[in-house]
Amino acid sequence: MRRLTLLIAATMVVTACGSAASGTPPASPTFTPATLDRPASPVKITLLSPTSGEVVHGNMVSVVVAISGGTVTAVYSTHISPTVGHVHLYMNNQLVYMSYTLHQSLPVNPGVLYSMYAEWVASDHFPFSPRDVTPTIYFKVAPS
Amino acid sequence: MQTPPSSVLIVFGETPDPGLSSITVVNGSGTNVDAGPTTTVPGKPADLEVPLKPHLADGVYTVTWKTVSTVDGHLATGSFAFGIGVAANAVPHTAAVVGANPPSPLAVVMRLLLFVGLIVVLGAVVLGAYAFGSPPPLLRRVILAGAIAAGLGTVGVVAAQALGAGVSLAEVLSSSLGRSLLSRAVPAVVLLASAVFLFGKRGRHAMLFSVVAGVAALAAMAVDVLNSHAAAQSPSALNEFAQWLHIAFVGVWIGGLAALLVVLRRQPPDTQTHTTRRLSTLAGAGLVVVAATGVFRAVIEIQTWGNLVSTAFGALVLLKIGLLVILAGLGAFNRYGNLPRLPRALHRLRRVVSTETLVALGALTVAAALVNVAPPAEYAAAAASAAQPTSLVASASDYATTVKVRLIVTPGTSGFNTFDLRVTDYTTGSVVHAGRVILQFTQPFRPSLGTSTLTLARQPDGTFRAHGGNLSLDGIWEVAAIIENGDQSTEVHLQLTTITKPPVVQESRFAGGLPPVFTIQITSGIQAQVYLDPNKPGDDEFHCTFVSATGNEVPIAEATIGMTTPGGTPTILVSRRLDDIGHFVADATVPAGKTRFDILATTRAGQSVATYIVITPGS
Repeated sequence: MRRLTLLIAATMVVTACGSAASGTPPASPTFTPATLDRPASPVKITLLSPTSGEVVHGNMVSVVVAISGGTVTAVYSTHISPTVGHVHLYMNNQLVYMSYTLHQSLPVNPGVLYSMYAEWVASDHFPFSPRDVTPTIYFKVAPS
Repeated sequence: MQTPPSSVLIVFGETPDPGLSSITVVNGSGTNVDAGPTTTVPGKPADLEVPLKPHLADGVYTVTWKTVSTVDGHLATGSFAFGIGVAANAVPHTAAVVGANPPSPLAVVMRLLLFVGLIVVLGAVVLGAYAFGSPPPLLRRVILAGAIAAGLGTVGVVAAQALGAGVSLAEVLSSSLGRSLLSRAVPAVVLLASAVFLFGKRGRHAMLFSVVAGVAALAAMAVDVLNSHAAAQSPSALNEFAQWLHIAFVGVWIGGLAALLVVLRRQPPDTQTHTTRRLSTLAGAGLVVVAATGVFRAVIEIQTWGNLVSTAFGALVLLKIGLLVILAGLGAFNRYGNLPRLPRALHRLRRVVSTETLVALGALTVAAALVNVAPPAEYAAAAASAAQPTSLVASASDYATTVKVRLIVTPGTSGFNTFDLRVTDYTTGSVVHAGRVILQFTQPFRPSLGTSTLTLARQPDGTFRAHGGNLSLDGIWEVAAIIENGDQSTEVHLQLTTITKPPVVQESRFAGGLPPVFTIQITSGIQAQVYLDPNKPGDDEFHCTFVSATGNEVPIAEATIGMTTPGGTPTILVSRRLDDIGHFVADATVPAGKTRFDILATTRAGQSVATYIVITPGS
């Protein structure tokens, strides 16, 4: 009986030390974001006015943009189509207007040199890929 | 996290010894990003904080901590990870791995030695007094052996703690472990001295030294309890008393059994019978007290049935209970089977007592292991502390660098907060005893809110405190601390960002060099789609469109877009409406690194919405 008792006690002591050991931490999930494709647009956008090198008189400039192969829409949508969108107009690299028309008059300051370009963007206000932009033109406003 | 934190603050369930504890933070490359040593937080002894280097890059960071508790001297370690600019579900989700260090064999053996020594001493003293008037020579040897074992165990327990904490002897002596050693040493020395002096004494003198030895053993048990898990539970006095009673009556019961085993061999049968009968009564009382106090302490430390069966601590308690049930069974067999048949059954009784002693040794070993394992109650306390309000901490100095100010805002969310402010000399770091401190609050992106003020009251320790609802809205706040001292005043500017649940952001990346688009969930019905174009340091356009859950633009009456650059001042951007519904654009000169954009708007239906996004151009 004594040997059995010793064996039981020893087993319990070993169990005591073993029970206090820690478990393993849980498994770790990981997440990798995907890169999405953005469609290209067949629409051709042209900045008709002002023209490059033009000298504008007064404190307003008349901006005319032409597009071919697409439709201008004022309706926001995340279901984009390459031929449906609107124009972003940049003056001195600042987005000055989101035009739902193709003819806009913008205020300018006399004696200042301006850069300008226009971009055709989708109905969700985000560019196509590659970006559909006109070449940058420069015009000057005559001093007052 | 969208922006890098300035420090890591950890709240512990027991007060850590700052001299023996540390927090380290490393980046994904394993490089340390600590900006200074680990320090305590004024007024919060259970908190430790480590400052971080500024402008931490995006990525995953790992925090590793090591603490030695000032309560029970136990070493605990843990680690967790957090991400900066990394989507929350992209961070490998290591739930904090906390302090589940198995007890070292040395710690268990030394604790067992201490327990056995004290229990044997107390059992021998009690048996000697109860059955013989004063301890016979054999019991005096038992008392001396127990005192030596207890002395070795006392030193060994602290040595094991120091080894586990990886500290040197010099560090031990100047730390909480050293103070623990000193408090343990006093009763251990008294016990050893009285056990030695007991040898040459007779009669009343022998009884006196025996009593002193017994009292010293009880005192040593009390000191051990004061450095145990019981001291960390509330109410601490009741838990400590129950734990002390538990150990003391284990001494009366188990220690008495061990003493009986030694004494029985040398006594005539009549004396053996008399001694056994007397001890049996004592042992019965001891069993009842041990069981009752054991159940009480187990309930306090384990708290739920689930913890009893699912934690290491619970498993050890179940094991101990099993062994004690066996002990009780053997004791009952002796009392009701062998005792009535004495002296004929003396030999059988001795065999059962021997068995009881061995089983008791197993139970004491389990108890020694239990002392070195964190009970579930400690994790619950730590979790409760962590769930309690956290704090915002902001520090700054005045332009003339004459004073430094540290402001702690608790809980740091919008609404009512407690503001604790400490003003120190910029050069010496000593507390500046200002006459009055006033805080002025403005929200840079809501100038129409105006400025609110809060006067702080001076506290006995020289700091200033007040409660107020000045942080009435979420977002970035500029706080001016006006420190008045006589006819002089100094102004220190701080910036606070209320603690909010980070917005849920879905990032969409596109091929072809287009900037990423971030969709921010503002409310259950409104999202903000934002992007920075061309997403490079320098002149950018920040676009923001408010969209409903059905995919339509939300009509917005007015919108404000603010920008806060790393270390910079919050600035309202010049923004323009690009359509007559909900699309806005703002011009921003964005530096390299993380920049926070705050978006505040009012819908045409009158609903106010606010959110923010942190963007690193070029990422």
